[in-house]
Amino acid sequence: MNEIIIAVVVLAGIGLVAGILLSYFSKVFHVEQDPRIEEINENILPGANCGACGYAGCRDFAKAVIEAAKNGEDLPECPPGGPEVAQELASFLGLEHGGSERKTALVKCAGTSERANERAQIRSVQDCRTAALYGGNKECQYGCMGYGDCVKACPYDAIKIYQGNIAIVDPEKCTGCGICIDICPNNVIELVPSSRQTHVLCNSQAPTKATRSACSVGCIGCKLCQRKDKDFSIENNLAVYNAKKGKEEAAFSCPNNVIVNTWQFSVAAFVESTTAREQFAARKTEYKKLEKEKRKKAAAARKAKKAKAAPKKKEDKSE
Amino acid sequence: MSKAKTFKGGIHPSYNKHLSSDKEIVEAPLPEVVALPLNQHIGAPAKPIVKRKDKVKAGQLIAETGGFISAPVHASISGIVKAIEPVEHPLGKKVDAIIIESDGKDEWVEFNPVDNPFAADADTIRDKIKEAGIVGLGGATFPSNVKLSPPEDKKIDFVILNGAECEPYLTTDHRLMVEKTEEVVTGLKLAAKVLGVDKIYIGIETNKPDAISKMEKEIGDDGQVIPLQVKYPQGSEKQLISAITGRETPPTSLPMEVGAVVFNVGTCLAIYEAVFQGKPLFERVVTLTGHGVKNPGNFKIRLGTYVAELVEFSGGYKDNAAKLVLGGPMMGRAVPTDGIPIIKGTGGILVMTQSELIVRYYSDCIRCGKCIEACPNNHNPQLLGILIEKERFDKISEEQLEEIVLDDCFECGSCTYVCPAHRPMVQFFQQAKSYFNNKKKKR
Amino acid sequence: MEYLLIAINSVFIGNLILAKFLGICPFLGVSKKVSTALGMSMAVMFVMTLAATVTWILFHFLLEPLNLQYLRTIVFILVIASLVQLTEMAIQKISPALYEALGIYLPLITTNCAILGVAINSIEKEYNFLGMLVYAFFGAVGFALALLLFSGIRERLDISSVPKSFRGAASSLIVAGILSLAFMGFAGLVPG
Repeated sequence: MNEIIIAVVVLAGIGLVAGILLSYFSKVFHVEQDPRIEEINENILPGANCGACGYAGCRDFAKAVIEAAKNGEDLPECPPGGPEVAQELASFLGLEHGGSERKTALVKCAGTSERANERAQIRSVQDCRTAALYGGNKECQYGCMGYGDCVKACPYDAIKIYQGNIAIVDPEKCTGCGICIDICPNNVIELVPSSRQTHVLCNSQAPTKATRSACSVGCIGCKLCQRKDKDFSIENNLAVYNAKKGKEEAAFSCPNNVIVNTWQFSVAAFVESTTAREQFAARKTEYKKLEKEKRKKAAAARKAKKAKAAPKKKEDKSE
Repeated sequence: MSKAKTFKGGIHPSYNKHLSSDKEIVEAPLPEVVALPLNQHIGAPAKPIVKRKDKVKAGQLIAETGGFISAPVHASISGIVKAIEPVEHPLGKKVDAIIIESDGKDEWVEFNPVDNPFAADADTIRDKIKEAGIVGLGGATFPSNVKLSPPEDKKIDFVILNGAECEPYLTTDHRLMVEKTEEVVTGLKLAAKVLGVDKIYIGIETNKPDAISKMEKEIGDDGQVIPLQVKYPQGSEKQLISAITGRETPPTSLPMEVGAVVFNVGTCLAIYEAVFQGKPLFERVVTLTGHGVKNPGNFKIRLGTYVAELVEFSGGYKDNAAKLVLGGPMMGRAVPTDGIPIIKGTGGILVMTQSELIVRYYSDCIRCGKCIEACPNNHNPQLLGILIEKERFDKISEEQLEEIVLDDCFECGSCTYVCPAHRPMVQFFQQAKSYFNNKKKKR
Repeated sequence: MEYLLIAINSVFIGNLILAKFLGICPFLGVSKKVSTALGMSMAVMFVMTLAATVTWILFHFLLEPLNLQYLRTIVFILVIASLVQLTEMAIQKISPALYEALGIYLPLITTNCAILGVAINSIEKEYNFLGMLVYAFFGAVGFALALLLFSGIRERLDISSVPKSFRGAASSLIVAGILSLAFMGFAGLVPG
């Protein structure tokens, strides 16, 4: 009996001493730290300290993540945490920075092999970077070449090459990490805010004549969209849209159907689906018809006004 | 004659120079149309000062310099400006060019040579060279007037004439040294005077004995001809300096850091013509060669001539012609069409036959180390090739090899030539350069 | 030279990772890069020696006199965990530079069975104080050796073309096994 008590006492004693020492020293040796590190370490990360990320433990990873976010660099990855942890980290840091939105990648090209002219057959090349070295496989040198470097690079499997040889990003899967942007040799992919619902699906800065001969859905810099919606600006022969939701009229006024409004059609549908394009064409014709009728009515009204004014004058004269 | 000097590394490809090395330079007839890209040099593109339907004369300034490191462009024929639009360029991306349709008259503007050039002030000569739009005709196309103005604190000890012409098949420099010896040497001496240097070296590979003896006679006591061992890439600046003077240029620095300035044979001729005759740069000599053309030879052409026209003049393609390369087989660029203009940096046009094209599929690196032996710049193409193939650019930055890849590798192709696994090393390095350059731009 | 023999034993013949198979966790986890492996080794060396010392003292001056030898496992774990926490705090305060370099690895070592293994083994082998010190320190040196060798190989494997089914942990484990086989060659180095 005695022995058991002694054992318990000794054990408890050592535990107590250790506890006291630790709490005392945690006050004495307290060091100011970014509280976010704790927040990330405790609540977001798996906490296994496995080192699979390449950093020495979850705390070190948390520090690296905060540092990367501060410098505007890509966040390091936590393989066991997977895409869920990556999302949480991104939103955690995004909210902290007050207002930096969730972004998603967009391939600014709709020039499928039917719509864009081929330049030259490049044999035995299987990736975009090599093709770019030789000038690309399309006449338009700003377009998506479709060999899929971005597909291979995307860690979330968010990009696919559809028939027609264009890469399309799935906005549901995209986390805005930006790796595809670094990989694309033609800079066709851009990071846009997820909330934006109007996109210009073209990257070509070539002058009008060149774009017309290269692709049937290229932006020729005609400025018709700008006339309908002031949020469109034209830089280097290319239309740019930086606001949230563009006017439908702008999309209808584009002669080459380069603008897509995602509340009507998804980017994927607009690029590769013929039904979507047909629907859009139908709406456009309807809109144009309505516009024409409006104009006719307005012209008729003006004429009527003029006619009303003229006979009155005659009457005055005759008096 | 001293024993033939050389540098560390390098390879011995088959040269095939016999196809054109004894063919005298022939002047090609006036082309019907020329396309003069605004970007034929290193630096900012030139800015056009003419527009559609303007009439121009040969030698007239049609585009002025676009920045400090830039060069103007002159019309090479007389005629009417048809358009200013993008044309194919050997580097792949289309470039804006001024397209001139010939009026058949070949009228030239009046030239203003410099009076008594050897007594003239250095800045006058430099301005004349800048006005004439002279750039390095060896292929690097660096504006020569900038090369002739090193910063005050860099002491220049030697001027070296690059007569090595190590690239297989090309023979322009060889023929220029044999046929225009006096003009080339005068241009060289003038360049040396502008730099205030009295030590002149002329490096010539031993496979050109007629050039060696002619240049020796011409330069006399004013300089020294150094015969060099026939090895590729002897004609590269840093390797040339290392072989002749023994000085090693540190990685990513310019030759002026070790007190040397190197000039190409064609550039010296252009300097002579610009200063002594007042003629701007609108003509050059190119070698049209390869087993795919009926009559290989050396031709003096107007800049901007389409390759198709030149080939037609020379006699046309053979039936087995399959691939067109602008430049030599080692550092030249394959182009998809012969509707591409010849520009300032084009030294050769190589037409290869179907049987010379062997498409090989490459395997993993077998770690034999032949590429490390062959690299003239002391790099490790083995490691870099593996890292680039696996897209481990992060590791390249980690090991601080980014600089080496971006600035120091000049893509000579020695590593690709020797690789037993047929790995396309040069293409890997080109990809890495494009990746890092893109990254810099996007950040 | 008894102590020299203990040292050689700890590093080669009875290598903690490759012969005793202790501390496999950090061995596989922190060995992706040579730099992290180095940092980890330094941290382990420090903690192992310190922990072995404290536990040895506790055992011989507290548990043995009170006939509580059977409590050693629990007590040792308690002590090692608190010690590591304390050391981490101390280093963080005293030398932030040192903390940046290796303090981050300390939490990883808390549950490292190699530390406990060394502590218990020096009791089992009935070493005296100096013997325990040599055993612990050179045990850590052996740990470091195995870790550095392995991380070097892993860095090389990282950029090689490994067949798909072998990529990642599979090839690493096979390499670890082969390395362990290699170290078995030292078995006859010290007779007895």
